[in-house]
Amino acid sequence: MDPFPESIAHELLANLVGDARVAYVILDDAGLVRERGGELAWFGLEDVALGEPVDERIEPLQGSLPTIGESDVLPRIELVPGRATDVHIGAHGDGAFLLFLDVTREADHDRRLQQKGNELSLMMRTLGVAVFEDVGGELRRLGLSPSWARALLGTDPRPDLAESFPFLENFLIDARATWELRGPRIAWSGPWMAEDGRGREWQLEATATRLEDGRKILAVQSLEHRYEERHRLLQMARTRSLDFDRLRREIDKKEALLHYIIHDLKGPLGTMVGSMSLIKDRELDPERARELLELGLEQARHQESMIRSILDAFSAEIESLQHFESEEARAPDLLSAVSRALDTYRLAYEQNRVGLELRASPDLPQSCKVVGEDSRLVRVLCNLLENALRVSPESGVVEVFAEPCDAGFRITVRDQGPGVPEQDREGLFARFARTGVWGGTAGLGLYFCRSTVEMWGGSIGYQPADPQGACFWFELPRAL
Amino acid sequence: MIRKKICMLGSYAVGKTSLVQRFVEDVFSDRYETTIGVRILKKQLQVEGADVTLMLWDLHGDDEFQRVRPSYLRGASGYLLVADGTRADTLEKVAELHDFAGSHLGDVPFLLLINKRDLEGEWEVDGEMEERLKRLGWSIHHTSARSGDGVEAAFSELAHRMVRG
Repeated sequence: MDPFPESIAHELLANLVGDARVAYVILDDAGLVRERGGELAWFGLEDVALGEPVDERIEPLQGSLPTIGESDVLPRIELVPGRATDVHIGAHGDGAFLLFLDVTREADHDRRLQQKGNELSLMMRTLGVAVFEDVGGELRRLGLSPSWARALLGTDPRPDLAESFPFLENFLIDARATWELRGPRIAWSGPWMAEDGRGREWQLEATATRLEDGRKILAVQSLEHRYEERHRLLQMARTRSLDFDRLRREIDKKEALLHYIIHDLKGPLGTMVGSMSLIKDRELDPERARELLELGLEQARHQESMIRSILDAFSAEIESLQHFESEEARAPDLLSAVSRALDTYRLAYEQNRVGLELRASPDLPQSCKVVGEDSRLVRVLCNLLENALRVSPESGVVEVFAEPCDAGFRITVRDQGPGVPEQDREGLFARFARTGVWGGTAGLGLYFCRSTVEMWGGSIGYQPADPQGACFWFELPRAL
Repeated sequence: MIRKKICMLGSYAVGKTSLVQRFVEDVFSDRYETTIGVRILKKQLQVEGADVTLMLWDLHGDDEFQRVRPSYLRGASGYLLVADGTRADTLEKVAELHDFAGSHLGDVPFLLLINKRDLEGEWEVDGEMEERLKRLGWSIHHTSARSGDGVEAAFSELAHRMVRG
C-alpha cells in the first residue's frame, strides 16, 4: 500500500489515538535510537538517548532487536507500574519504529469486564449451571463447573456431552436448529435424570440459545430444589388422583355388593317368614311343625353366617391396625386354634353327614406358636371349614392337615367337593369377589382370610386336590 | 454393536419405570414414585446373533400435568405402550399415545403391555377390550413388574422385531 500523505496520516493518528498519551522512537539498522518524540516521560523513557540501544529498557524486547522484521504489538505491558502500554513495532527504512500507546483505561475496562465475567461464572456455578459454547460443532465449557458437571463430566474442557448424556444427543438436534435460527430463539430440553459414578441421580435441564453476538450457547442446569418441589406437587396430585379413582371404584363395588347382600339376605328371610306363617296360621301335626321350625332355623343360621362374613370382611382392615402377637410367650397356638375351630363345626358336619378329620404331622413340635391373634386365627379356620362343608358331598370327608414348613407352619383344608372351576381361581381371594360359593356367602370370606393371614406375614393359596376336591392352605410364620 | 432406542409410553402410575427397572436391574419397589422428564437406562442383549444395546427411554406419564414431547420419540426403533390392568382408562390413554407415536415415528414395532398381572383379580381391563385391540393387529403381553412375569419376554419380543426390521 502506498503511504498516506502526511496530513492524512496525522488525521488518522489523531482519530485512532484520541487523547491517549503516545511516544515513539525510530531505530537504525543496528537497533540504536535514531529519532525520538512524543511523551516519552509518561512511559518512563525520558532518558532514552539518541545513538543508544532501547531494547535493554523494555524487557520483552531484549534480544529481539534489531532483527525484528515484521510488524508486531506487545500488548498491555507495564513500563511504569500501573500504566498499561501497547508497544507497536514495525519496519521503518533500514531500521524499525517503536510506537508507545497508553492503554491504561482500556486495560482497566478489560479488567473490570474480566472481574464481572468471573463473578458471573461464580454465580452460574452457585446456581448449578454449566455453560457450553458451540464452536465449529464442538461444545466447549465456559467458566466454572458446578458440582454436578464435575461429577458427571469430569474436568475436560471439551466434554463429549452426547456420549455422556444420550438425552442431550437428541436435544442437540433441537439446539442446533435454534442456533441456526431455524427454530425458536430459545429451546428447552425438559428435565432428564443422569446418575454419576457414585450412584447419585441428578435432575438436569438444558437451554439452547443464540446470543446477539452470534455465539451459540448451551446452558445445562441442575434442578435440585426446584425438581424436588415439582416432584412433591406432582406426586401429591397423582397420588390423590389414584386415591380418588380407587375410592370411586370401591364405591361402585360396594353399591353392587350391597345389592347382592340385600338379595342374599332376603332369600332366607322369605323362608323364615313362610315357615313361621305356616306354623302360626295352620294347625300342623308336631312332626310337620318341627320340620318347618328346622327349616326356619337353618335359614336363620345361614343368614347369621352371611352377616358374620360381612362383618369379618369390613372389620378386617380396621383390625389390621390393631395389635397382634409375634412373641412366642403371647402368640396363639396353631393346633389349639385348629382344635377349637373343629369343635365349633363338628356338630354341623355330623348333621350333614360329612366327616371331619385332623391330620397333624408327627414332625410338629409340642408348641406351635405362630404370629397372629387367637380369635381371628380361629375365624380364618372357621371360614375354610365352612366353605369345605358347603361343597362337600354327603358321606364325604374334610381333612385338616397341620405340618411344619419353611415359613413356620402350614394348614391345609382338603375337601372332596367339585373343586374351584379354573375360571374362578383368579381373584378367588379378592375383595368383593363373586366366585360362587368360594368367596363365602357374601363373597368376602376368602378375602377376610387373605387380608388377615398376609397382615401377619403369612401367605394363603388354593390348589386342586387329587383326584377331586379343593385344597385351601395357609402358612404362618413361627412366633419367636 | 447395534443400538436401538425404545420409548416407554403410557399414563402415570401404570408401571413404566418399574418394568424398566425389573428388566434392567431385576428389582422392584412397591413405593410409587412419579417420574418427571426422562430417565434412560441401557441393557445389552443378544438378538438374532447380534449384540444389541437397548436404550430404554422411560418417559414421564402423559396427563394434564405433563405431556410427552414429540422430540422424545425421535430416533426410536420401537415403543412399548403400557396400561394398568386395574385401571381401564389407562387403555384409552394407550390408544391415544399409539396415534401420537405413529404420527411421529411411522410404522415401527410396538407392543402393548397390560401390567399388574399380580393383581389380576382386581383387573378392570377385560378380554373383550383386548380382543378389540388384537383384531387391530396389536400384540398384547400381560406383565407384572412386581413378580417379573412376562417382562423379559415382552422386551425380548420387541427387540427381535426391531432387529428384524
